[in-house]
Amino acid sequence: MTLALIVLLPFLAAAGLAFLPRTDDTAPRTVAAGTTFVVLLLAVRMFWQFDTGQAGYQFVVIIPGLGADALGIQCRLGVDGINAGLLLMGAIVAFAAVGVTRDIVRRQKEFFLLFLVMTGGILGAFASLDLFYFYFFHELALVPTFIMIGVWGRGEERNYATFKITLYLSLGALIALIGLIALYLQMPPDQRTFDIPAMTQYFAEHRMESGAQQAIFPALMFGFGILVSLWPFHTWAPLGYGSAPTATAMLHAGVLKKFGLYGLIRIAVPLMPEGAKQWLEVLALLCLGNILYCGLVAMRQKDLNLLIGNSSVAHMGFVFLGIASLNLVGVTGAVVIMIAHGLLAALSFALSGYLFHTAQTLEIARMGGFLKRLPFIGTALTMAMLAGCGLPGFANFVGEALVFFGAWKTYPAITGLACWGALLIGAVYMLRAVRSILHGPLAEHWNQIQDVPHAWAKLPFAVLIFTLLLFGFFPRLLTEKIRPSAEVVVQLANREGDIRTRGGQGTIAAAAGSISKSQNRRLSVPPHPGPLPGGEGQGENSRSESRASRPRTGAPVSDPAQTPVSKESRRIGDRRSEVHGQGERTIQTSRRVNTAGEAAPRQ
Amino acid sequence: MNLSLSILEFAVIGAGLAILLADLWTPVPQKRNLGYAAAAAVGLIFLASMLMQAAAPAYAFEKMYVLDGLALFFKRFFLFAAVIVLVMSVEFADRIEAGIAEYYALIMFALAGMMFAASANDFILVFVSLELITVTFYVLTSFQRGRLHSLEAGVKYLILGALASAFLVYGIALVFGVANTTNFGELMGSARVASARPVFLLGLLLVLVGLGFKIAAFPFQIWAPDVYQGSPAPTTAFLAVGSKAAGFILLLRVLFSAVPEITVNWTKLLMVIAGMTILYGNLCAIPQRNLKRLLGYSSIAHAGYMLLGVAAMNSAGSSAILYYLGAYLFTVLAAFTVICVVMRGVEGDDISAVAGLHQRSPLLAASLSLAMVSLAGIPPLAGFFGKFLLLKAVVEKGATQPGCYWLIAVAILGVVISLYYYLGVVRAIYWSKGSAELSDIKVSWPIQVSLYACIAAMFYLGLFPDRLVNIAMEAVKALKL
Amino acid sequence: MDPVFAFLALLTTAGAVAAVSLRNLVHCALCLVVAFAGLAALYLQLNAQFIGFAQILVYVGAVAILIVFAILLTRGSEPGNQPILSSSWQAGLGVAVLVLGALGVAVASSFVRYYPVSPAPQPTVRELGEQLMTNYVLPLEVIGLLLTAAMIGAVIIAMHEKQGPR
Repeated sequence: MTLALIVLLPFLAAAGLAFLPRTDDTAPRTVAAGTTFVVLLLAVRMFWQFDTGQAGYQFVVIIPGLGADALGIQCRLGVDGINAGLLLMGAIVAFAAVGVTRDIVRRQKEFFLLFLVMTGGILGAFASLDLFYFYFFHELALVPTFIMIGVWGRGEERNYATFKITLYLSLGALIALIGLIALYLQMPPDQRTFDIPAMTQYFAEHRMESGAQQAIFPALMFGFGILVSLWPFHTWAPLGYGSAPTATAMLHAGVLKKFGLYGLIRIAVPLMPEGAKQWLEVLALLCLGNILYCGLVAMRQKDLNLLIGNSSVAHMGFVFLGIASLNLVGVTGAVVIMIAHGLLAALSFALSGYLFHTAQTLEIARMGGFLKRLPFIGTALTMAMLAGCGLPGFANFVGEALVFFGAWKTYPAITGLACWGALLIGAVYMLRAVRSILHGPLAEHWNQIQDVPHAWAKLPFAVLIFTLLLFGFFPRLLTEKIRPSAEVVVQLANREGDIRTRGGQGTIAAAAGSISKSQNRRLSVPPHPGPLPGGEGQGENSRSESRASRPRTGAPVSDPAQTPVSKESRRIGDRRSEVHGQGERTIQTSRRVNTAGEAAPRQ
Repeated sequence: MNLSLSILEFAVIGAGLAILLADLWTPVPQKRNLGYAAAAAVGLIFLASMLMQAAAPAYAFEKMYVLDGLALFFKRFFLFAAVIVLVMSVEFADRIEAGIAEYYALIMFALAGMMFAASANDFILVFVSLELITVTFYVLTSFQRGRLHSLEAGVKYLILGALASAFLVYGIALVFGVANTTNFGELMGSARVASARPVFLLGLLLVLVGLGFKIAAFPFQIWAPDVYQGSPAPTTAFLAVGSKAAGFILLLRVLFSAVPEITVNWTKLLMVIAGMTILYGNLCAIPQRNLKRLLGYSSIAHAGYMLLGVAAMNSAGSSAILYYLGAYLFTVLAAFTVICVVMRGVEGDDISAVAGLHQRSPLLAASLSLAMVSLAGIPPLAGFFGKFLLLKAVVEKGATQPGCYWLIAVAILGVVISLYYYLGVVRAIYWSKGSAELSDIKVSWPIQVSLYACIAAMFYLGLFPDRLVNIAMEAVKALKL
Repeated sequence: MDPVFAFLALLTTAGAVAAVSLRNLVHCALCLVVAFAGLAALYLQLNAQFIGFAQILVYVGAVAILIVFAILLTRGSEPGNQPILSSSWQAGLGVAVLVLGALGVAVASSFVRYYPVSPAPQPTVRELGEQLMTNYVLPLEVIGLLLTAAMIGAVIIAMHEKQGPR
């Protein structure tokens, strides 16, 4: 019920807004703020009550009426570790976005109506357990984005920008849609369903034809990739965000863009392991384009919004890298970055929106010394920029570190380059922006700019920064939830082609079964005491075994993040031990593969 | 012979004649209100059609006329379209110089033709009902005889329509000459023998050409933009919805109920036609400034999308066509209703006429925007689910016919292109400058009701597709797929 | 070859050729009547009574008279001074040959060639009428409606503007 409310409340509020008189100037904002606040509370409650350590879906609810039974479509919502955090992040960003809609003064009713539709669409896309509604909700945001940029956007190029963003996104979405339909049609006619857990289980038990995997995976990868601004299909992003009104840019860059990544993790990789093996190498190469090329482009930007837009494109590269690594650490890291970057992008766009509101320009060269006049905004901007560089203490660091650890084994060269890009290029443009905007002499004509007037107006920024720091200092809050679900994804992704072997099949079916069943069943069974049984089970797990073997060099590790964290040196150590811990878990899992092989019939 | 099967058609014809008669005794200022009476009558017939059942196909007139699920589906479709079109024509009445009652009556005669077409199970009835539709539309398109555009549209439609009829009747003659029957049921029996004859195939191809004109499929689409642009708005709406749907039901019947064995060999041909139609319609729509002409090109593109369902050659494809037509019905009617109201006193139907519409009338602005979004195929509106079903059918076909993947690529390209011009209209409504006229537009309550009905239907079909999907899947069981 | 058939065919063809090649439009129309009549006679000779009489009634009776009236009323009777042969007559000849060829192929491949010629049914006008009023009554009714619609349309489009407010 919680989940249904989270998704449906924005739509209901939007429908209600449609019947308000046009002249009312305060009600729409109040309705939007109230709705997003309630949604935020519900999302926090959901996150709090989430049963950590469980791999299955929780809070599962079916919205009756929607869908077509004849085609196996029903609107089923649910969360596991991967999307719980994303939903919370979405709710936080939506709430913060309403708080910074100062720049919307005309046609408020229409704006907030579209805003609520977009919010509901985003949350629905992340909460959906049905492939059709997963796509359906995402597309709901398309037209609102178009109109919002067109009507309330800024800049000369907003017409071009809004058409570009819409056409690119719908192209990506359509390509992905074809992939999704093809996936659906891979099942025999009488079993066809769009239910994601059921599909996962089906394809875990029945091997999809290799040719189909090779064909469908790229459709999903590039389709979703376009939605996430995968290089070289990224050009819509900086331009679109530069022209969008603040709230739209926050929602879009922060939350909506994660849809494609979520789709890769949730659908493409676990359902088509063979396709993934082939194509993720391409993805790993392309992600360098994001990290390095877009980083360099960001360095050359003269406009703060374009800089943030390009840097957000660059950050997507890390997530791609994490997914491409195909191991527990990397995928967990990817999810953490998705959440952290959502908050960070929202914060950055909120700040640049405020700067534009007060200074009427975003040209970096024209600004300077703003810290004197804008202590709060200045501080927040510094923090955002540092978080963008991956400074420890912010959630971004956690994610990036995990991704690098995870990807190191598979793609050492790419990871090395990515590290360099993250640390150097990122730092250069971020710090340079901080220097030229906040420091230096304050020009005469900037005397009229004002800081955030009162505490209420500070709230959106404060919420975002607080969450970033919270997850930065207590990453367990996220990783503990993500890990069991990510484990399943990784397991499914690393199953070898010949799953016909009894052992392998049983395990994977078991792994998939644990997602399709929503009841509690902890995945982290105690490690198998004896030596590996070897023989039939070992072959197909050699890959995950070899990946996992590196971290095993450490001691058998205690539960990772139990010690409170204060200093950076300890944090890194701690991080490493957590990585080891996860490595250990991977091994446990791979042992489970063998034990569960025998255990499978018991199910 | 079971006359009661075609009771709906006779009711429509009777109502049409009654309107013609009533015209004689109605004082001149009241004449336009006859349209409401006509709409009410057709509405009642529509409701009555809801009571009819067609579980098993029932035949009448020596199996010339069939009433099955498919026929009933299309009859309801045409009846609903006619109700909205009649309401729209009342709104349009002051722009027609003379003979408004005849306008209503002709719409109802065309409706009767469409309903006969929905039940046609014999080439004779196909030809006759198509002629009834077409001849009526010759008059309906040129009804504004004071306007050059309208006359031009009428003449163009007349010449090209006559050409199409000639193709059709020639094709029918050839088919009859070889198979010695015009009945679909008997044709299916003899088709295997007859299909060895090139003349038989030539005849069928000519029939396809004739039907291709009706649905405006490439390369027989030339007439559509001009006629759409020049005709009175209600005529255009009825042409876009009714005439096209009549073409599709006949196409489905001929291909999948008369000669299914031959049709399977034509997959490639149909695929090429579908792809070209999509590309042509969408590419030519890009530079259009005239809203009706734009919709004319877009209607070509939509014919192409629906041909995807034909080319898929499976029941998923055919039921997708039915669903798509259902979605298209409400969407196009909403769009033309808005055009009919907004373009009062605007010469040229230019897109700039809708600039600032969101201020002048939020209802009209919302209706037109939703219609455009639905035509573009974006959730949560009806058009999306229709496109989804069509694409699904084609992907399904792709397993046996790899060429389908090219077709899908073309379709995706078409959808993306179409977004550009559909959203261009949305843009004009919400943020284009340059409209001097900013006065409020009064919307009469029948128009409001029909707009709300269309919007509700668009959302209903987009959000709760289950019912119509089931109906469509039931209906296509009448075809031999 | 049947001499009657040869005579009728010659007459029809000659009439048709004259109809397109004479300079005076009235003469052309009258020659067209000859061609129509010849065709009707051919039908009758083939025992197709209904089509034969329909041809006489419709074409010789109505259409030809209509054409003559139209020509006389629009004063198009003065001979024009364009050449009879169009400048692209070769193309026309080509098309004609193509059509003839296509028809020839069609006739050659129709099942008449493969099956023994069955004695042709001899539908009398009475039988035709019965068929029309029983099996084909629905198309007949629809055609009636069609003609009504067409007549209304013709009146509407050709009607004189009324004076004053409508």
